Amino acid sequence: MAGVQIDGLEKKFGNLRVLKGIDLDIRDGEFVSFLGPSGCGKTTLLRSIAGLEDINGGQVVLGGQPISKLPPAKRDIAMVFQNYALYPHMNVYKNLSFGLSLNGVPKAEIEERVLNAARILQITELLKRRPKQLSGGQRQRVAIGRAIVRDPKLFLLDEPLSNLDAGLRVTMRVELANLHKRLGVTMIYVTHDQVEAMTLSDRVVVLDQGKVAQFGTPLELFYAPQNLFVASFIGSPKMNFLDVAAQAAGDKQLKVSADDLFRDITIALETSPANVAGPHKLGIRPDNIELVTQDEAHMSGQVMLVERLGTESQVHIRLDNGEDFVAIARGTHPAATGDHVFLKFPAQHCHIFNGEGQAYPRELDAETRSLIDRQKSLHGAAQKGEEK
Amino acid sequence: MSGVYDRQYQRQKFVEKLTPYLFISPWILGFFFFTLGPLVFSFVMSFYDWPVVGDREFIGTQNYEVMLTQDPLFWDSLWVTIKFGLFFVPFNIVLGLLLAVLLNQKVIGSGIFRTIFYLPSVISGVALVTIWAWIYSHEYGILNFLLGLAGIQGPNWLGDPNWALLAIVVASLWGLGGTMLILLTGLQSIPKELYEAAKMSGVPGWARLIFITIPMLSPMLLFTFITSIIAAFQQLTIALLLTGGGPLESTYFFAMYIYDNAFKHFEMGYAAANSWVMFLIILALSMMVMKSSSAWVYYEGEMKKGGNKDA
Repeated sequence: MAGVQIDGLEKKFGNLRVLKGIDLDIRDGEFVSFLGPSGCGKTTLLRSIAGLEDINGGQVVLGGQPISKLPPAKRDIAMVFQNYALYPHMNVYKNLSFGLSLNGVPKAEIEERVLNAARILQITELLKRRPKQLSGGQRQRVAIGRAIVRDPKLFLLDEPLSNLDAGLRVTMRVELANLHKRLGVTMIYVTHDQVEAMTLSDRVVVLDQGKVAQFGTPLELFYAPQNLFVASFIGSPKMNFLDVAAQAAGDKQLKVSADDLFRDITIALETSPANVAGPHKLGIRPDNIELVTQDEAHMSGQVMLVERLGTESQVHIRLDNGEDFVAIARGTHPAATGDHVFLKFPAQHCHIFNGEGQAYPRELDAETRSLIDRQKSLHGAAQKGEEK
Repeated sequence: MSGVYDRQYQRQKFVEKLTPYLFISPWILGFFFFTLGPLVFSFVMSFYDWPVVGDREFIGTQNYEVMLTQDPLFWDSLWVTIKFGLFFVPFNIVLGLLLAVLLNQKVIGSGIFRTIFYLPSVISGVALVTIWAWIYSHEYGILNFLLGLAGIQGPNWLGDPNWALLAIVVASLWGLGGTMLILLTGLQSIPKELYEAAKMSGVPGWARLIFITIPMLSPMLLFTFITSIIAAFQQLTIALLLTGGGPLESTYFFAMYIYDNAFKHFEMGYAAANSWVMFLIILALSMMVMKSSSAWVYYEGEMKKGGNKDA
């Protein structure tokens, strides 16, 4: 087991820079997800760590040893592929043992390792079957088993659940989390599904066009996004944004105003902002918007559509300035298409971004802060457990 | 009323059923008149003494008896063909596979090489033979000229019974572009993740070829195996034009033997009987190969009953 350090990693396909200087420090035993939209470079980054792609600059260090120049087999890394990549002409046992037997592992040891992996994954009774005779979930297990038998320092998983149906995906997600706990090995997981990333990971790397947009715990990404990209990418429905102007207002405070806003909003920050000139963006998540009466409201608009999901209603609103917002109201909220509604943006839930799209770190309420701290410390505790 | 309606309905149904057959009728007619017809006709012919001019006479199985018991040329030509096949079939497949593997590498200009290797398969047989006649020529041939530069006195390739068959094997291997192309398509349909997974677990290149490429390619290998056997038995053009069966009948192929019986000796009935024997031999060989295939061919689509349990 080992941590992974990535320094200034660069990757080009022809003239196209797909990875633009990636720096990451992944701790020993950590479960880290690479999250981002298609084409953000997450799979390329994973394949670069695996050694399946030659890199054009920077380096990768695994367990203190630089591995960028080593062939994939020498890196002590196992990878689970998106489409499983099982050898279709071999039965499950052969699929698990194939690599080992060619690397001179004694037969008895191979059998022990294969049976052990099969037991962990509960596929012992499938060992004689061919991949064709397995269900999607079973194939996924075999693919993971092929990684386990190698007892590697690092697991790489490339969208391993994306080919499964929704129900099975949830089951396998839980199993993956348990597997990580049980093996205690460092795992890197590529996904475009933020639910998977948020639920499985100790920390998440959000990638945007070949750069790290933010590297933090799931709750940090949600409550303290560092930039517009992370703010709009994490959370569903997406965060709403409004063009505003900002001015410093007293100690660690920012006053936000706009022609469209009925009244100013004063946002508490962690530090006093240095320069607040230029255009800003105000961000607010749909579930933080309150539908209120006129005297409390910041803006008003017309309801275009109400999607009723039972526990909540997603209200699509066209604001008076023409912007489209989504607000989440309680399941039985009476809002109907065509209604004129008044919206309130509670200051403690507002995010504020400068002209470059960088967020001002806002002061979080005590509850959120302690939750984030706990997520960080939980991981720290797990760390110490592993080291024993 | 309902009777009329029923009849109309039946008529409509009949027309509907007939339509697809009308559409494929040109092919069906072609098959009956130009494939099945001659096939049956030749089978009937093989029981006759059937000169091109003169009276035909039903002689029962006499053609077959004579061929098997009294005609040494039958056995000699069959032996030549088998010897040829023993060289041609394995070389055709192994070289075709090696070329396909090489062309499957991501190398600049692999498209050009692909075309070059396939080119001989497009060239007319006669032109091909002319080129090889020039290469093999004893006195003026380029092969012996090159050997001479290395200080080697080249043999009379086409005039020496020890070399002539080999010379024809090499010349016919020139057309392995077709085999190569089939195997190349097969190679390109193997998911590249299989190789990446193998690379990650430290499987060396030779093992990837033997344990992944060849099993995944086995349906194509089976196909080329059978078509190569058929091609070996049908070998005629090159030998006919390059050596004419000589020297000392060392390249007198079975197909040439049939050709001579039919168009030199005008024994149509006898030639028909020869052809049926060739057909039965090819059929038997193909069936043996197919039978064995359940042990070594892996089909992605379905599991073959019986064999193929564990690779």
